[in-house]
Amino acid sequence: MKRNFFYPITPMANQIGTMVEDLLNNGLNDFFGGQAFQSTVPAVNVSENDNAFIVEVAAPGLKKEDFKVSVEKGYLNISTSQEKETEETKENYTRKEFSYSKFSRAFKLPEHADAAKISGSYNNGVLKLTIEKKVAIKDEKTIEIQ
Amino acid sequence: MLRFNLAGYDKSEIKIKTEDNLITISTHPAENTNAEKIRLSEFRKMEMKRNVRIPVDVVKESIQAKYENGILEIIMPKDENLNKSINIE
Repeated sequence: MKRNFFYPITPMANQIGTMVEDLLNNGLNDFFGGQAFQSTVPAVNVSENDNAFIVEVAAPGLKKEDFKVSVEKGYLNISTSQEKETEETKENYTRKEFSYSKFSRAFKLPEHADAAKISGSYNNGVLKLTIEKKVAIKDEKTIEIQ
Repeated sequence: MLRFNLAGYDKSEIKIKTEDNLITISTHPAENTNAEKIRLSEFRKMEMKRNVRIPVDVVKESIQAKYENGILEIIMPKDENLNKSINIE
């Protein structure tokens, strides 16, 4: 099977670890840039039915508000960043701990995906995005052979 | 405290059982009757099972489990009376 993908590297710091895949091809597990950074890549399932594409991201322990979903230039971007801060005050000192974890993943949307019609829900640790397909414009003409 | 990443499983698909000093966590996914075409499958719901030994100082009757947002948390409270410091007279 001919693989049809590319891995652009974007210089922006918050795009570290971004994976770009074509929705119509199989995803790949390795990506350009390595995993030297804190961000990780979560597991994703993509399926489709007659009306829509369904993208499921396995990301347990988060809240719906933690996710940022956007569409830019035909790419669906899913990212999350979670900041945790704990503070502990004792007699002599105060201890503050800060932990930061995030991920970012992008998918190329096929032509017939309607980027304006995306809905999402977060259930059981899975973010489920439903991207409706564009309604096909019936433009078929039967040409008679004379 | 035990924490399991069970993203995608519904509470009804998870079973927790204790037997003697072993706690068994298993998943039993319901049949997926969606007639959807799969484009990419990086995680799948499967039948899984895992055993964890319960430490001796845990009060077994007070073991609790919570499942939220794909994370199963099992809290095993310790018996405070077992960990006492003994004064030397």
